[in-house]
Amino acid sequence: MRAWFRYFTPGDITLIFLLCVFAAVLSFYLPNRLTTNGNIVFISCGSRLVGRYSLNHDRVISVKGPLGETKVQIENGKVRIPSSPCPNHYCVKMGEICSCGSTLLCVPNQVVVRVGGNESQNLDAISR
Amino acid sequence: MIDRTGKLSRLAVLLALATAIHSLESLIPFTVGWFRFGFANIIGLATLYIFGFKDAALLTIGRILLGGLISGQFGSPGFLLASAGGIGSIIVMGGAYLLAGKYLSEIGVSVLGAVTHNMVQLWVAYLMLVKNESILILAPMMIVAAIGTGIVNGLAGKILIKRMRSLTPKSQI
Repeated sequence: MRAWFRYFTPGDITLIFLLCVFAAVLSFYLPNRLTTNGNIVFISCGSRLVGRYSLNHDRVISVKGPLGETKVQIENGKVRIPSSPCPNHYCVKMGEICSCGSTLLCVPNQVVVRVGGNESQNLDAISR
Repeated sequence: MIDRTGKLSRLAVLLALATAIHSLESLIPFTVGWFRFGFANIIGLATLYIFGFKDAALLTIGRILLGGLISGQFGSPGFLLASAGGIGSIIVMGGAYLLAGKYLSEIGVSVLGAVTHNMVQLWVAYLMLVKNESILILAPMMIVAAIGTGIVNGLAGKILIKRMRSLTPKSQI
């Protein structure tokens, strides 16, 4: 162990330590900085688009799926599924989302809630 | 007196070695697509310590050009990334060797080079290829990966430099 360790100078160890700290700071800082909040919510059930709703107006939307009604709640710029007839309630446990591109999903009831952004809402995809 | 022929032949062997390592390294299978060890940098590091910055920069550029021709990637996006990363890393390694050579061993210089290589590549990929800010989320992961490969390459480079110094007559350095 010691024979292997003596190859490093104190400068090396300081440098490696500083870079690790830098990487750790970046890994907390970048995700907050780079995800932008969306402003529109797309709700679909199966292949049918139920509707698009603004993220800025609080409201509760009931979506009829094969199992029953899934409730989608928009509140304070965030969207969540407070109740759903599915057996495991994974969609409820997903919590609330607001960043552009993130999705809430209830597979048994076929409900998809997706947050969209500002510019590209009319485009399916962009290739450059 | 510098024996120019001896230096030239040594640099030629080093360039051939670097090119071979650069090309053969792509045969190592990895599940993570973008991960590479950058073993060719061992040669760049050794050249920097033995022959100086100018020769090391020339060797790196030559290695990237020849490696690109051999692997058939010349002019492709991958080649663009490799050249940007390689040139950026040799400049930073040269700077670190000249300015902080007292404090850093080969390992520290190699780690700095590897981190620069990855960061320059990520930045070029963002500017030229992906153009989507989300790719920058990879930065911390790439820094950590670079620290690992930098340490491995630095240790290997240190051993290589020691062996080469004992084999090369002082007059040819």
